[in-house]
Amino acid sequence: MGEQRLSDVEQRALLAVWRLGEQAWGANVRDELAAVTGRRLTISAVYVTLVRLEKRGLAMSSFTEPENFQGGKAKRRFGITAEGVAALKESRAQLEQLWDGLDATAEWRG
Amino acid sequence: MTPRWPLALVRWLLPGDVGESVAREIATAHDDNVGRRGRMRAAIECWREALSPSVLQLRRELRVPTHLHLTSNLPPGPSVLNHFLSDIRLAVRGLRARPGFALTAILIIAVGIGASTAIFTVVDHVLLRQLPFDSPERLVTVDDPGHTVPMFRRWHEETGEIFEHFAAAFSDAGALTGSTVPSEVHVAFVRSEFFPALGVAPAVGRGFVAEDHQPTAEVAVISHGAWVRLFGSDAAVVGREIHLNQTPRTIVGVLPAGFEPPEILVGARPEFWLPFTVEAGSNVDDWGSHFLSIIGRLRPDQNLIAVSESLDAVTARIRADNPAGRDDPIESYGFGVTPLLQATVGDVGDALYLLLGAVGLMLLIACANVASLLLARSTERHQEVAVRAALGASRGRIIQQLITEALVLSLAGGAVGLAAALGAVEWFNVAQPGNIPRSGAVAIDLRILAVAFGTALLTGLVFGVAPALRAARSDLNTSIRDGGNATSASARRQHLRSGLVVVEVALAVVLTVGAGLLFGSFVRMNAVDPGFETDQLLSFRLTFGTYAVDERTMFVEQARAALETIPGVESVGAGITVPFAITGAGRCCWFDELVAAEDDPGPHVAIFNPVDEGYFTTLGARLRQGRSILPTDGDEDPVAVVTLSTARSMFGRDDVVGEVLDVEGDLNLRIVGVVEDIRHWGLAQQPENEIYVPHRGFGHYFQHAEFLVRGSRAGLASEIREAIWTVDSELPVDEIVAMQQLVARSVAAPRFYSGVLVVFSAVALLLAAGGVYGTLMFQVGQRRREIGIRMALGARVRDVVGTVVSRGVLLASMGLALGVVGALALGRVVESLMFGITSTDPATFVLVAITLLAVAFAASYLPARRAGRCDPASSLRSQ
Repeated sequence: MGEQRLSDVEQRALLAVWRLGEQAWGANVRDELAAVTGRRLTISAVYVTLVRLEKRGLAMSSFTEPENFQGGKAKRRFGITAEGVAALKESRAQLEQLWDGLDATAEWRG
Repeated sequence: MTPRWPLALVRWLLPGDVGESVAREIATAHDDNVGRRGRMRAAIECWREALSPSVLQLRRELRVPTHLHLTSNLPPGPSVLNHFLSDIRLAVRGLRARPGFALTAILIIAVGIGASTAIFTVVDHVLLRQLPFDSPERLVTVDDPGHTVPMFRRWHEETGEIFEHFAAAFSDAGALTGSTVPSEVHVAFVRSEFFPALGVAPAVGRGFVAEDHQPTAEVAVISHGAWVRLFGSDAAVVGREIHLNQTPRTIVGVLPAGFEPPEILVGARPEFWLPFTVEAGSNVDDWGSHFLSIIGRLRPDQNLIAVSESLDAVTARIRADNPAGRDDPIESYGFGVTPLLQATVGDVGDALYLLLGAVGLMLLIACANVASLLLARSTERHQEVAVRAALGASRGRIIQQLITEALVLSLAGGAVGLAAALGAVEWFNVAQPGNIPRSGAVAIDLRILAVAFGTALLTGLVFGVAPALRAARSDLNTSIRDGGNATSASARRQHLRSGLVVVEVALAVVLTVGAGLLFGSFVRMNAVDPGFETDQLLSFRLTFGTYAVDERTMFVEQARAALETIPGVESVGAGITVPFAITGAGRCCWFDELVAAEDDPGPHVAIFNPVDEGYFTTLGARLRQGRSILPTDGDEDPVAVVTLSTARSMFGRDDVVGEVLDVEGDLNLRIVGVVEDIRHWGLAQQPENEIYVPHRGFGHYFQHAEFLVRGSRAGLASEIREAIWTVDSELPVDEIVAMQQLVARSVAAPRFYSGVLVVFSAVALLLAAGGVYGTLMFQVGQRRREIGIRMALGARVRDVVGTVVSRGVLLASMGLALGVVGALALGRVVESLMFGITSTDPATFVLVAITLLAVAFAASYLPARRAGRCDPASSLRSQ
């Protein structure tokens, strides 16, 4: 698989999906992102990114078993693919390369 | 419950399983939110999700075919929906480019939709909604305001196969004591079957049972409001005591919070409910005491007609073996039964439907007005449309776009109108104008929202379709060449616009005539002489509580003496009723049957008012003959003062002093005086036989006495209370009201209806004038070149102005003619609400015609002046 570039938003969404594991459905991804960025997206906005990732083969989705109560419905659960993991690692490596040699704790002195 | 519409919108915009997933997640998030942030916030959040632009973004994302099998049922490329969305964008952009036009149109639609939504909300709440009881369609009342105890008893015994439950009720003021300040409260007296008949179970404790009708059972049921107010919603309230009319009573139950007792049976929201018990030999257990209202729950297999017939048969049987061997004057009519809803609403229905019709007319005028604006705009946009057509837009697409624009306008107007309607309904709930029954808690709910939305859409179609069809049917060649100037196509448009103006004017005339007639009725009603002096007159009611019947007269004497000592009080009077005091649940009274002692052909029904010697003086009633009631009048040598109408209807002449009235064969009243008619029950009251008798001889069978105090000083009310409390400190004193206020209250309904109609008709006239003005202004603008040429050829300014004004007045006259025909045809609709005026009242029609022509003249003059100021040279050059 060739190199897949990830935008900021895509990186965060993919990381959130990975972290959430079995619990990775739209609303949870949204909450996870809100906890980090402080911005609360709509569910459809989260889906825009996830569907795009899915189309690129970086994420996948499947339906859960219907929830175990009267009227319980199946949910679309997202997951990360091997390509997704690779793309995330690649992005991280690139970032770390750029950080290399900088003192992350240093104050900016102009 | 998750709001349905946002989810439907999401599913519609995002077909396939992704859309379904998003919708489910939104629903789940909503359900979580309800618990955490409340229903309202959760619903707002849900709508935010559905209306968010990212839904459209996701939609675009999904359109590309992928290995995901995103089952999109949209064909790739343009679709109806996409057209629609882009049309909306285009429409919004177009409207923002012409804010003056857009705001005017939105405002006009908002007035139409706001007013109709507000009126429809009231109509829906008062007339269309079923009463909040179990199977309300089976609830009926027996017609007529007051029934007697013996009649009720016999009916109850003999109608078991018709009614599942049959109960009597009445309400009265009561004195609540034992707390700090004695207060007067509203008490309902009901039979034990009353609550089961309505299908209402108490929220706490129990209702009444048959044993509660034993005289020893001192029990009470209280309303939810009283429970909160007096007992702080204490769950252990059952078994506690209250003191009503100085009698301790044990609370056995609390009614549920939402319970709206039927007003026609027990008045508005009584707080205390007592079992209604008649002790044997009591003075109300008598064929002459009419005070009961009756409610019945029909058995499921009964229908109204059959019930009326069976009831008549039972009534005939009762009458046949009436032991007294006489027909009661009131009970001798047949009895119908009326569905409870209809009886509750009464004749308010006519007036409310009239308002609904009026607001419908106003909405039509608004539609015509906006259609006319759109036509003018489409003339201006002629070139734009032609260019789009030339670039390949089909006629259908152009029509779709123009209709979309109309819909955007109508929905925006609808939204503004809805906000206004919310405000209006809020005001209506607080001000409660017009004494409309069931009007306490009117609210705009989903049903109303749906109606408002539907009205807005329909409005948009009504005013949007004709201009759209017109605009799309144009000749490309000439349009592009002429650059949108006067052509034969625009001449057709002008005819359509003129037609719309004529329709607007006609509708406005119908509305204005209706408003004029009702306002005229209201003015005439206000001008009625009530038969006494209403200024500087106060009235209030005292409830006797435990006073025995023979103690009540004594108390009234003492109270009057105490009141007379207040500085500034000129005179004091008392009686069982005072004019304009009785509203609501029927009028309590003493009816009896009497004959003029000599050769009188038939019995007359009369209303008896026991009054004291101060009554007529304090009222300022006008004595025509003889004398008034004196302190020495009592039960020996009983005397009476009759009204002029009574004298005329019974004796056929005014001079009846000295005549004798035979009441039921066991009492002879000697007439000592004749007073001019006193409108006791309202200004619109027809003259009835009314007889005043001295209260000393006829006791106070009723639980209360009404007092009149004439005095000019401010601040009398508190001194009146203190004076009464010097006689009995336990006695509550009801609200002390000025007679003028009571009179105003009695005409609240016609004031409200005629006021609303006058406002509507003013708006209608304004809209029609706007139509005339807009049309002429536009025509003048379009014909500047022609006017310029004429003036260059020597036409005088006066001629040009005259031509334009006469065109405006001609349009208005055509509308006027049509409108007058319409008003004559519809006049009968308002007849039931009119007083002292006929639906063809020439003065009203002439006044409306003059007003309308004046308005049309004014509306035509400005465009005419503009035409007259055309500078021939510059208007020719500008072309």
